[in-house]
Amino acid sequence: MFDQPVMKYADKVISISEIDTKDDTCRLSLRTDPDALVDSIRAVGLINPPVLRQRQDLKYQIVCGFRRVMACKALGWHEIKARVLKGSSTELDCLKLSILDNRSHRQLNVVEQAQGIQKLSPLLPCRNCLQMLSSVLGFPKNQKVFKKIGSLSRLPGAIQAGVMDEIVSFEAVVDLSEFSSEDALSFFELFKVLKLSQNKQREVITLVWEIAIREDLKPAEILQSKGIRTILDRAELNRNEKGSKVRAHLKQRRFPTLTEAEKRFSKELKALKLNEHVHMTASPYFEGGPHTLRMTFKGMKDFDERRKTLDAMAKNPALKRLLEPFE
Amino acid sequence: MISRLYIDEAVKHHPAVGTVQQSLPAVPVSVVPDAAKVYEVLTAMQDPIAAGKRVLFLTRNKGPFLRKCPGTKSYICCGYQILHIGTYCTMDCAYCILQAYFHPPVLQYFVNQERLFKELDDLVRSGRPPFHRIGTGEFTDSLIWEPWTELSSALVPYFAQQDRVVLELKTKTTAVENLRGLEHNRKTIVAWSLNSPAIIRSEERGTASMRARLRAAAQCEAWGYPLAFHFDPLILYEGWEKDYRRLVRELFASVSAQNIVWISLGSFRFMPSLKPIIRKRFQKSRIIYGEFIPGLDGKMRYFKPLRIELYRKMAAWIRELAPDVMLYFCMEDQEVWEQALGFVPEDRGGLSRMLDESAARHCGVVV
Repeated sequence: MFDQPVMKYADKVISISEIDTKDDTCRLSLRTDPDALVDSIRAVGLINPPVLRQRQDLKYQIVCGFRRVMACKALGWHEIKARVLKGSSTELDCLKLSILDNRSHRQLNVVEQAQGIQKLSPLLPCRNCLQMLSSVLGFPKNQKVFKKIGSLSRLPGAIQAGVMDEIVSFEAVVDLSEFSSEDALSFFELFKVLKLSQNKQREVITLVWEIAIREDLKPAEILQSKGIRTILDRAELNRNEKGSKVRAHLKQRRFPTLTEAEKRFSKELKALKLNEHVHMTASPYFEGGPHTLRMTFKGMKDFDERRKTLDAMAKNPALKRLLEPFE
Repeated sequence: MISRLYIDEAVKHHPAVGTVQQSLPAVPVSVVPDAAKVYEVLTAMQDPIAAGKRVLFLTRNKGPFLRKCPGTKSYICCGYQILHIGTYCTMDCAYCILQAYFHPPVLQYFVNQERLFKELDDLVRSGRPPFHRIGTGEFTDSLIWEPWTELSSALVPYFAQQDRVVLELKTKTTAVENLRGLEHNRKTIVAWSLNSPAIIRSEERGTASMRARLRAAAQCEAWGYPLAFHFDPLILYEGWEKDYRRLVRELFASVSAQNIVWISLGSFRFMPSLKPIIRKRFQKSRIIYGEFIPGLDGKMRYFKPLRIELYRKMAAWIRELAPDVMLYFCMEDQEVWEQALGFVPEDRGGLSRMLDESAARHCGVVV
């Protein structure tokens, strides 16, 4: 199982119409766009013939070289030189060959690795076999990373492609793999619009997931709710502003009491009438740790001014309300 | 149910090992060189946390048997001491910190109790500080060991002979039969963790029902034992007010308030590392999705005004039926005490002193 059998080939000229280009049994890449290859083949011809396998219905299946076949087709070729596998090759052998062929000239990206893991898994006799094959096939040896990449393959193709387009981060996609396709696609649509950083994507996923559990709703229902839609529809907001507002909206829904306390704190802070030189921050989460007071000054005159601000602050009843918020 | 008994090579000839083996005659036995072998077996299992509840490892305690409760400076601690008899538990509560505390958690019992009693002798004789509250229910449930060991039969009479220390046996079981007829001299407090039937059903796998716990408590009261109760972890969920109020009523309908040494209240708090464990092992559990914030000790806690409301109501319901009972909070700060009970422990000599005095009143110890 772990040794790739020596494959034998016959060099043939095959009619392109006999190749089933929709058979993606051995395809790893989601990209089939042949544009870059078209020019090269037009200029110098097909240097490296694709590898094909003849199926029982006599049509040819592509094992290696999807984009080469598509490029030749785009050039209007009717026939193509190919290396046709001789004898009986199993699907597992063909997949391994495809992976090794891709690996021979470049590193597989995470989506291709995920495709490989997804396609190989059902063909292997034991759970750990795939991990044992990792080093040969160029998959990560670290078990955690391997599992993460494997989880990617459960997601809809659009989201997998979204990883390559950097719409959604790899770590966020791992989180999304726990959701239904409908829910995962709802997140993906939001991320397409907002283009959030990896941490913010993960924050949104966690917030929505937990709100869904608290309110017994589907994540998609929350993501398509009026509150979110209204923010996304506001033409006067730029993408970053929309992202901030969506996150604030979700946080308020997930932590209503905390958000209310933060609002009250901001209101009382305004009542203190501090200026840009004196700034107060609440203790984290109002849990009883120290508050922070930051003051900037240049010389004695400035210092006296700040002291006056602090004196006024001490006499302001809003300060007691800030310091004892749960009285 | 124990499916395998592991015996540490170093204790295989200890008499306590024979006692345990006799009580588990059908259970296969493996003698192992050390704990690492047991960990290795458990770690390879699908759910090591669950697997650790089904194997019993008999070994020796290489560290001290008496330890200080791991309280933190940020919150007011009760000054309890732990008698470290073993680790982990056969019951399976979603919120149990022991799932994340040991790596991996293993049901292990320390048989070298000669040293345990030596440490207790030293403590009783030392006279400093003058009084101690000791419990076995911190790293395990105090009474799960009853079917296999003679621990209570040894501990309870030991504490009965002195008047400087009380022992608290804290449990969620009804395994009190071995306590019948023991000479206790009211120096052993039998305590139950209580929660609403809804929480017991959804979050406490394999524990006794609330009514069964209260029946066992009433039985212990009838045998003359002083009692204690711990409403911990209190959990906010839809219907908590109605459920917890009913629980308080049932408690005082079952036992006499005058025989209760103390009642503690503690809201659900957890180390962040416990969250993914609960999510994975208790997929229907909703307890981690409350309004939690990181506390000053790094544990996640309900946002403070929610805790204050919860405690205020619980305290009012308890006070209504038992105005004089010693009520305290487990790991809360002064603001919560002030807001929920109207005073801070410092005003009454500190929490340790308040608890010591209650023990003196109920257990006849010298404070």
